Amino acid sequence: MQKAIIYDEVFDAQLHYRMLLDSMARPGKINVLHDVDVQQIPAGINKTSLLIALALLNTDASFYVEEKTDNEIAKYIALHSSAPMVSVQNADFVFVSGLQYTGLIPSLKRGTLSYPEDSATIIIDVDSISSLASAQSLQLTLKGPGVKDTQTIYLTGLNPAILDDVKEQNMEFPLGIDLILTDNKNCIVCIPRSNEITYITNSTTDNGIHRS
Amino acid sequence: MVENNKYTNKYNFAFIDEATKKEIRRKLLKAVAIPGYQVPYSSPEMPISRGWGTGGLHVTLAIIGKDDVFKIIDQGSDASVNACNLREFVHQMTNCKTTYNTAEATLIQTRHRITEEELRDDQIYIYQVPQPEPLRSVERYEFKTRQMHGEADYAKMWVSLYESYVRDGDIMLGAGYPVMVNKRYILAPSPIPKWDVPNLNHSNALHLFGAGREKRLYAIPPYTIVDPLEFEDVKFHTENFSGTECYRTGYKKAFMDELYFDDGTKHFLINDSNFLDKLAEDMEPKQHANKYIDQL
Repeated sequence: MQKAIIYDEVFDAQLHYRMLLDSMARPGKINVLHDVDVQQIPAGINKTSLLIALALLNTDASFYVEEKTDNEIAKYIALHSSAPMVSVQNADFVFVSGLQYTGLIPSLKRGTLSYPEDSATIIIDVDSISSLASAQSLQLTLKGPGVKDTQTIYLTGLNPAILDDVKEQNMEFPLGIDLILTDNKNCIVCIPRSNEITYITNSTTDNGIHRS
Repeated sequence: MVENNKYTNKYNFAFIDEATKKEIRRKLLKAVAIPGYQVPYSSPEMPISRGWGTGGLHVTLAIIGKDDVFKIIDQGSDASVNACNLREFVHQMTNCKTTYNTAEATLIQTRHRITEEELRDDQIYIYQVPQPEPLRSVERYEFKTRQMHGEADYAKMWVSLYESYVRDGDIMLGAGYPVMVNKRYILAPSPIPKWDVPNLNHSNALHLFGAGREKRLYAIPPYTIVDPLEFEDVKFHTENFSGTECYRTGYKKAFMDELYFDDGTKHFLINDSNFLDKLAEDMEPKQHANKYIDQL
């Protein structure tokens, strides 16, 4: 039997949304969503990504999940948010795994010049988001509205091809797609289309240097 | 028996139903991601008429939580009738703490002013906007202004500013002076006086705008370049208060109200009521810094 999930759709959603709004307004700022004891999570997706789905999705917002097998994640999101699963070209929210990337970003909608907001938001699962460099981490630097000078974060478990495709899609501002990155410790980081992305893979050279 | 506290209130927390809140929240995320772009939204029915601050109220109620401290001003004053009514409404619907103190607030809703006191990065500033479209004075059709924004075709706006200068010797725009956000979109900063416009540039706080009657949301993220429209040889300038000082505090570098006393004498008083109170109590509030204030 499906158990009820312990999630307050008024207050948990509000607190999670405020973190999202803060992250979107300050790209590269790492915010932590407070933990909610959500039960029976499907495998293959960060719990944080599901919390974002619960905070933002309802019948009016469509989604797409990239999955290999039996659509467990899609069923879970559809059951708990009532959002419709649609084709990748029409989806408002797209859930992507940071490592198993299959090149779907060029087919996402990125708005029109008159209505640039009619575009996809992608929620990407990565392994870790940190302000400290570690072995095998990808150094990501952001510049643009919301960032005082530049903001640098370190990610593991993200295929750089995703960033290349996003940069390609966001060339023609205001058209583009917005990113929300999540890790498995409830950290989130947002990269709106207004920001300029540069990255260096395997930034092992400056170990442990804290960048604010 | 388990007591059910969840439905003791007649209304949902923050009045608006959760589905509509989610819609406003999603639109606000897009508004922040595209600084200066006006996102259409549902503008649900409120217990006050559209055009009386519903846009700001929608934004406030969509993002407010139990722990927020709410401040609302109307033309700089915490005690104006619009501010008092909306404060009472938000308080009844959320039971949030309300305050007059700018430094204490986490959410500040405003009608037509930015506080003189500098904003912090944990504060969100929410505007009630009557007319969100800066190009409406030069183009009457919505589909056309939308296309002009899409193509960054602002020639008509520049011509209108030029004509104003040729006709009157100055750009005769007062409150709601158009600004360019992130070098891309022209935006109407709600009718804040020119005095406040430079404070939008590289602000610490997130600025959210809601126009309820016109059904538009837009945003200026923190640390974003906001330039008032100006020519190389005809520069933007703020209101001139030279030779005036606040009659209560003697302070000179603030936006002033002009008062006439019963005996016909003219006096000036700081418009921002909380800033005035703090100065009167010698508390030295930290003011916004910009090059226009520094020139005084």
